[in-house]
Amino acid sequence: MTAAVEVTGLEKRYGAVRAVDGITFSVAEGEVFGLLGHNGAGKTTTIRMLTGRARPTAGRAVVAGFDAVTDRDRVKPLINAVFEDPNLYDRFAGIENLRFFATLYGVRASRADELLELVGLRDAAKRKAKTYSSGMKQRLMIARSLINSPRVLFMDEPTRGLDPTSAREVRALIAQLAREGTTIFLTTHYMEEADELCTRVAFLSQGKIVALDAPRELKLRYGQRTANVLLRDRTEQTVRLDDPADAAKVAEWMRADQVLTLHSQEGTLEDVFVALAGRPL
Amino acid sequence: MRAPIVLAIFRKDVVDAIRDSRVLVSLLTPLILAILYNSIFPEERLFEAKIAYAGPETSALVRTLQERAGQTVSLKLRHVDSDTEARRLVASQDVDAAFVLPPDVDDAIRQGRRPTIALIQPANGSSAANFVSASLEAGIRAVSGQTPNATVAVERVQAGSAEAGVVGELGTRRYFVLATVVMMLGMIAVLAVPIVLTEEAEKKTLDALLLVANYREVILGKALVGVAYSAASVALMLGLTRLRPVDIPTFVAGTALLAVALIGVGLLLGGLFKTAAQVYTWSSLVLLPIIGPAFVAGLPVPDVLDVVLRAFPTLQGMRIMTNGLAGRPLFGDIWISYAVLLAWVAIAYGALAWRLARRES
Repeated sequence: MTAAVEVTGLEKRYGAVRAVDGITFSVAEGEVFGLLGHNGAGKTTTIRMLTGRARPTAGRAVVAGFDAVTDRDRVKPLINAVFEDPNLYDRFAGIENLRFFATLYGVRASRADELLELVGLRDAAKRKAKTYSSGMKQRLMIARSLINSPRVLFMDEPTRGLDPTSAREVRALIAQLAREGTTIFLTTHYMEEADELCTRVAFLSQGKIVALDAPRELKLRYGQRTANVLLRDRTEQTVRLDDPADAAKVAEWMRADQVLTLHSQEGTLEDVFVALAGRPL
Repeated sequence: MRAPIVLAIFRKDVVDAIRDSRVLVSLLTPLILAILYNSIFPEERLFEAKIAYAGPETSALVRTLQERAGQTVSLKLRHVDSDTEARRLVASQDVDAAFVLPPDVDDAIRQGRRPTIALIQPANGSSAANFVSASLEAGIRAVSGQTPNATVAVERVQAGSAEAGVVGELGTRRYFVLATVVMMLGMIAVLAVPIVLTEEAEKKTLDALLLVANYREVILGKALVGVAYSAASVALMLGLTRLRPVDIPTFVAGTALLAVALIGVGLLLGGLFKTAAQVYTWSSLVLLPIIGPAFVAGLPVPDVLDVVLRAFPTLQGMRIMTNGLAGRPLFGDIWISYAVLLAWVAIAYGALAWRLARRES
């Protein structure tokens, strides 16, 4: 599988501060790749470098087949981004926002109408963007990011600050895009979101990647293998699956018909992150 | 540099900026001020002259009279059928003066037949008759092909600055309306343009824009917005105040050069502020030295101040535009004004290019 994003030793320094410290990874075509980390871990700086808005201090990034620095103008038509903060032209209607970017990218104006339909904003097309709710603004930004049918879509905290319903709608949209083959590079604070959407995630801590794999693999590798057992006397016991003594205990309870319920306690991505970064997100 | 992207940004901003009340105020304030000046200062025509004439309707002498009237004499010419009718109109004070041209007067003058042209004026004389008399004499010399044996060079010497009389020469109304035109150029460049630029960064729409455009395209788009607003506003102001530049190329050159220089300064300012509100707050401090010199360009000022003010683009722009408006060199050594404005253009856009290069790296 060819790489949509290929990053080698990427580094960004601001004076003595290393915002991004020599990270290396690749994202395959059609993959949903998650970059997770605390505030200030270097996620947004990484996206800024990959989208040509910041020049790396060292290292190399190839995006959609072209160098993100030296071939920036060839990369631009092939990528797009959804930003952390709503950045729409407030005094323009939703449709005007999209048509402006359609003109910039040189795509037909009717693409704007199609995208408003896709994100469920057709009825609000002529309303000024400043009258939109947070969820509507986020969906409009997603529509804008699709205006040039990008091969690689960067999404920086796309559900931050949204109510659960709006966040679910945005996640559904991301899943749909992924199914349609768009490579998605996602940063998020929400571990459940990364778990649900990403094929692979990288944990970024103090500018360095401390783990990178599929969510399930990370959970298996770093999570605790335990199970919760509820007994007939209403007591709850936690047993370790890799402890022979605990296994014998469970077998005994089952022989004696003492077990009411038994739930495996798979580790969460958050547990993995805490184990690696030392503190939760 | 991709023209379609620059034009798209330009079109977006032309529409978007006018919806911003701060930009709208920066456009309307000088416009209202100009209309105010236009109404409180009287029209500077020297006088109104109602003249009747009999004889050939299309004589070169009649044309000379119209040309000499220009913008300073409100000339109302009326052709009548006979000298009797002309005399009657003067007697009844329906006209200020009249003259009677013999048939084929132009040919007679050219052939040296010394035709007589009768000038009819009220018993107590009139300024209009004096104007007609002087104009006809000039016309006769022109038609006969005579060139004077000597020319009279008129020199006006004023106490203080040599340019102290510019306001008088141009007329108070025209001078102050012109200064307000320069004020408008200043407000567009130093207020509207930086707001348009800073707001883009403040609201982070610049991030989305830079995914497809580069800094240079964005900056050029904004500069074009300033140029378009300047052109439209100056045209509107001239229309509303009935100001008609006599030397249009000079006026346009001065206006364009000044607008481009000031927009360069405005774009530099835009990069210094984080929010459009900061621009709005602090630009009044910048506006004072930008606008002030335009209003004193034609007034007597102490020599030291005069030297300092000559470094300001608005003063030099005002000098060129004044000459363009008057159609004659009320300010001398105008090449210095062009040189100063070109230097401002070079400095402003040079600094802008340097900053953009740094930002892109």
